[in-house]
Amino acid sequence: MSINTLPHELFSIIFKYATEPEREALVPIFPICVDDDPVVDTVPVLHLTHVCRLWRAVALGDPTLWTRVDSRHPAQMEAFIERSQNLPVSLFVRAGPESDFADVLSSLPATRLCRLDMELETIPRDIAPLTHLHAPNLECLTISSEEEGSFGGVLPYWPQLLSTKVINLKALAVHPAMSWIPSNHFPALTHLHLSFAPEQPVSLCVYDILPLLSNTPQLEFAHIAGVMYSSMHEHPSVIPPVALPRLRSLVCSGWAHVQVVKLLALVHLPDRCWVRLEDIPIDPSSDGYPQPIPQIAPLSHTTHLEVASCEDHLLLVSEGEHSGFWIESHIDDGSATWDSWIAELPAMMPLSNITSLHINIHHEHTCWPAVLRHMSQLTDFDVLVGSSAPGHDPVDMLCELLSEEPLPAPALSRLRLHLVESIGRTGAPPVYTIAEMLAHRARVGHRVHHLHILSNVPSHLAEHLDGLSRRLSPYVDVFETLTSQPASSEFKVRDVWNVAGAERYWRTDYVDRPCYNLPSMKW
Amino acid sequence: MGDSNRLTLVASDGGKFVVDKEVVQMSVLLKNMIEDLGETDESIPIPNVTSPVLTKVIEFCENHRTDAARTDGPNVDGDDARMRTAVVSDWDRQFFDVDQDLMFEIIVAANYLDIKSLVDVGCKVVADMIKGKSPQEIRDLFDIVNDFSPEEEAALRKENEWANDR
Repeated sequence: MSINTLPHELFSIIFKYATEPEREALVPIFPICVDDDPVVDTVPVLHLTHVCRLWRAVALGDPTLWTRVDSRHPAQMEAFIERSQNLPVSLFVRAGPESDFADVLSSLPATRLCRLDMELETIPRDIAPLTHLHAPNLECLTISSEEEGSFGGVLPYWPQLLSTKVINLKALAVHPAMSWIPSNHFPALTHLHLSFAPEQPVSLCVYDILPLLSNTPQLEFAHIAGVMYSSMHEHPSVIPPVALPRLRSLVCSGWAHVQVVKLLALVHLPDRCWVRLEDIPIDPSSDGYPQPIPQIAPLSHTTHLEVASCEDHLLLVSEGEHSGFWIESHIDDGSATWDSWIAELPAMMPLSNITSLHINIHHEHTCWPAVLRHMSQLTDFDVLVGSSAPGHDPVDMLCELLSEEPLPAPALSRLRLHLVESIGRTGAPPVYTIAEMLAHRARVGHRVHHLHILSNVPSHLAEHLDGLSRRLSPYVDVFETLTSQPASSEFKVRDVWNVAGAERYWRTDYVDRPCYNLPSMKW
Repeated sequence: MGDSNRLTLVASDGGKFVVDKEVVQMSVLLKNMIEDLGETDESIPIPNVTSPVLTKVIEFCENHRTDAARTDGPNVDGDDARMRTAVVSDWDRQFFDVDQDLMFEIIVAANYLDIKSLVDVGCKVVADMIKGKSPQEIRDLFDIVNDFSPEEEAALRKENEWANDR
């Protein structure tokens, strides 16, 4: 039996699999850059039609094979549109200097479009063609353009996208959106990605974004970048809070700190939501000191907290089983630190739910007493022990804190101290101080059961191991010394931040994926 | 009276196979026949399938008898349902490591018996053999004759320009 004796319906299945992109390439990376990856690879299906007459007849007779269309060769686009008969099509369009944005849009089979990916070599200053597009069945629209361009004289405005009601549009991604924000009501929109160009002369503020969010009642995944208006001006009218009851993931990157704080105050988020605020700068000259984050619902059930802070940089991540909050922020001119902001954490989130805590501590920190004393359920405590100053050893500070009355973190069961030579700690751990703290906690009935001391210099631990064990073993059930690689001192992102479903219409660009950015941390 | 959980299939060449009903019911065709027949000791003839092919089909069904529950769940990502059933395991690839004649006969038999998972896996294995190959390499692989006329060949060359022009 040869392949050419197979029934046509089997050929169709084989051809479908043979032309289907690999699972990871089913949707493009956004923003789209065709120089990196072909968004639509037409070669496999064309090859099938060039094998023999039978294969060509079968392939041409199956319209489903021709629904992913690349417009870059007009004859090919025409052929694919014809061969896909009347099926909905996904179309990739590239408009360059020689192909005008409006001309390309006017040539589309718009009523059959279910997906439209546009890659523009220049930023469209006039998006009128997009507002006139009649695409009633469009489910996904992405626009990617080069960031370089002239921005002179562009003021914010709020156009209606598409000439028809966008009742079927579920995904919208625009990079960069310049100064326009769609004003449609999007009853079905679940995925939104908008980024604004940092160079634009008129920066947007949160009040420009809220009307859009109030028009997306089904929104599940939102990524908005570049809301950089650095001073908080009062809005002329009272803005009612915007409810986003179905939101599962909110990512704000490159926002001014004051804007993101205001956003969190003006949106109602559900309990089960992952909120990631990435690359949030503070300009003290206009913003003053970092403002506290409002209490939000996703923080109400988080149990694990990580705080890495040093001088002008902060990373705070609080996670639970179904929700989390992440902020990575930096003070531009170094004129302020995060210490007092961290001390206000009890007003921002319910710390009494936290059962595991991972922090760094250095000699300038004064905030931890105010935080730890609210952690009544803390059982696991990981501390990256940072730099010391004369009379200010972080280990001493920590042990004093854990010995205070009333006793902070009374449920503490496992303590891990991570000593890293590269941050200037070259000596042995201060055994006496640790032993005193453990002894005190044991005496008052709050014994620490497990103590781990990690160091990336094995000889430090080896030389003092006997002394350490002798002094500490009466006060803990398990005492371990471990050696670690320098890299393990880093805080590590958990996989929970890759929220399922977020990449249904596009994959996140590498730079936008969840990643701890701690390049200049001086522990 | 025989075992009510098993039944006998008879291949086109007369070969008989006693199989668990649960295994046989992966075939929609046989499942419907069993429901129509009710409790019976009668053998079920499979006139279009030879013994060597039926042996392989039964081997596949016995190996995949527990898959049904796994593939019937809701598809949260909204992918094409068929894609989910076309995950080809190492066992599947070994199963189809046979000569092309037998491979296509298995796929045709699966199609006749309406065993969706076997059809999908078989077609995916063939598709993977095709992927990344030029038309000539595909012809060589499956011993297919290029029957295009010179005029048709000229038209195909124009289509090739589409891909090359990017």
